[in-house]
Amino acid sequence: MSELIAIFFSMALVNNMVLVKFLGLCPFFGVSKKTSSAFSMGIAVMLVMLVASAVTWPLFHLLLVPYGFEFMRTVIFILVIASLVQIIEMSIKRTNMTLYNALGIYLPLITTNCAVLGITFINIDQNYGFAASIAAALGAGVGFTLVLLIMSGIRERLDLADTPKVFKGAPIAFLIAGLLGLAFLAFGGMVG
Amino acid sequence: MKSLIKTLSNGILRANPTFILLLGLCPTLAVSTSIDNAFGMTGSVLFVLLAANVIISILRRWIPDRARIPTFIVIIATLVTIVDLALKAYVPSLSKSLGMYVPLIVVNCIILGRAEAFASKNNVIHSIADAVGMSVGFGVAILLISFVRQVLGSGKLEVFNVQLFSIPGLDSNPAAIFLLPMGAFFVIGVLLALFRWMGVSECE
Amino acid sequence: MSTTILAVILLSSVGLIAGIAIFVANRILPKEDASLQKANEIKERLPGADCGACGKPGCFAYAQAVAKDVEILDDSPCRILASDEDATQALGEYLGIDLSNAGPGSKAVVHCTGDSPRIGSYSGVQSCAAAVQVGAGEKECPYACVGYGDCATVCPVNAISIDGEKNIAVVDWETCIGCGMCVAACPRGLIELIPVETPQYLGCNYQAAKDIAGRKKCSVGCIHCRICVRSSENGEVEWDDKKDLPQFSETLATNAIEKCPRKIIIKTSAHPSDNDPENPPKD
Repeated sequence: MSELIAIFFSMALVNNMVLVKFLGLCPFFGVSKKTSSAFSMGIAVMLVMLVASAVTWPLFHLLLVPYGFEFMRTVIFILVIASLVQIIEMSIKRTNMTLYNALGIYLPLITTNCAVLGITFINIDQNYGFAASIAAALGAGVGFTLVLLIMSGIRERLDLADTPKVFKGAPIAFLIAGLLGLAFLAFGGMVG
Repeated sequence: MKSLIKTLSNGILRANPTFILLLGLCPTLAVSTSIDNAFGMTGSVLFVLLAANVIISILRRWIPDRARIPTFIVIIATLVTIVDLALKAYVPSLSKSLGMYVPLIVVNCIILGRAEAFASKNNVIHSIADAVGMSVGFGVAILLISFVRQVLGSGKLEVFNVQLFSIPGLDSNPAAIFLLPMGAFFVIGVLLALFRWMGVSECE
Repeated sequence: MSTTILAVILLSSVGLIAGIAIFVANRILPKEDASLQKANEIKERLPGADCGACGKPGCFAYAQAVAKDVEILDDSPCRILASDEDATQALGEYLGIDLSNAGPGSKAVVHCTGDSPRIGSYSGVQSCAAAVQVGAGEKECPYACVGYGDCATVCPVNAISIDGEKNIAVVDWETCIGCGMCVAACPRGLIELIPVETPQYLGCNYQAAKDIAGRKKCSVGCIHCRICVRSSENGEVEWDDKKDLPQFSETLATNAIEKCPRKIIIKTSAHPSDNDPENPPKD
């Protein structure tokens, strides 16, 4: 249990998906202008990460490994993730329209998001068991949402600040992301 | 012929995938800790982009519209697997250093974006030109960022185990932050601002 | 069997299973609710600014309400739609009803037209709401418009501009659709929605009862002389004792406008034909 908690915090803070592993940067700079959309995007990504990890782990360890097909993981994983996202989007759209309008529109973006595929690869590379994979996916999702929220809050205020003209927009956002990463370094020794 | 040159130069300058379109930032920032990595990543992207553009351009009339994206993804994923296995076999140290960012090329917005926007609508020759242009643009960008990060972060420039030069003071006390992830953010932020100031790209 | 063939079989099977899963999901999931389909269609024909002026939390919520009950279009109209003839017609065509464009019932005016100077050099967050937190706002007159444009930013039709010399907000009466977003945005409560028929308004909000420093704080501030009340023939101008400012009705108060020593009674564009050469319309 303590190992699971350690993995959770490690993925959420110490090895944060966005700031340390550089995964999920496109939505990070694209969706993080408003806090409400940032939160919806974060929750949607976390959901997909959880489902993807839950499905790809047994697929890898029970189907690919015993028959020596580890090299097929990239293709199989991406196929599975794409189909899963499609089904999730369909389910939400048909059953709960309010939820769909809140976060369903981000789901197609998440299919090609490196964060989702990244977490499935990390689960394999780190040799996590099933429970550990779920904990890692949860941690990664929470970390992603956290950073996205912080970034959107800062960017909302950044709009009003007196930024030099050449830095307005993407450059200053990158610099702020760097500073944020620097701050997250403080979590370094947290998970022993 | 003129339009070919235009397509080629488009990817390098006017629509540079990294600095102007801001696509495919994940591998760019992640592996730019050394020039060797940058070369490796550029080579992989070039192969995948070129092959994907060619295949998709050839098959463009037979791919049904609704199954477009899944088809592209499967083609690209296969190519990426080939590249990954080749790197593991022939340059294992580079493969280890690039890590999981090679398989992640499959979800790189550059590849999927060009397949969607260009290769599925243009003939093979133009698609080749576009692929080469985009890869060179990407290569230039990642090499530039790696150069800055490596020189400032380690004080010397080492390419494929051959030391090219080293800066005396920085050598012994390098600014290690540039090798850390956040260093990448700082470098690209400043470079983007620099290009705007030089007038290469538009201010927002 | 060689690895190649096995690999092809594996990939094909996974693809096939995924395809079947999507197909099955498509079948067993409930069909999209018909009324939601209608709501989506209506939403396509709305401005999509999510300004909230209709009272609903966003355009989709408004579309859902309209899909259920078309009367909503009259009870709480979409202000932005009301100002766009073509869009109104498109929505009317889809719904199969005749939507006439009545236009807004009220429009916004800014109760400050003065040139009160700034008291210092402010380099904080360039927003009115932020500036007024920093000690008595930013201009000599404590009731003056702060001029950083919070109102202009929220206006969905860009009807508000900032006068660069006086640093005050000016509403373009013609463009304004009366949505009221600016009223909420102004931290000094200087913007008011008045009925379209009102031909004049007071360009000052100086509400200090016994203090005639309005004369000192800017060159045109109200000095509470009450000449406007005294000169009104049929009681069209009354004095609001609480605010210590004149109150106008829907009648054009020509005498008051003429006799005001500060020329602070501004004509809205409601009566463009009443062009008094001594008192030309100020906005």
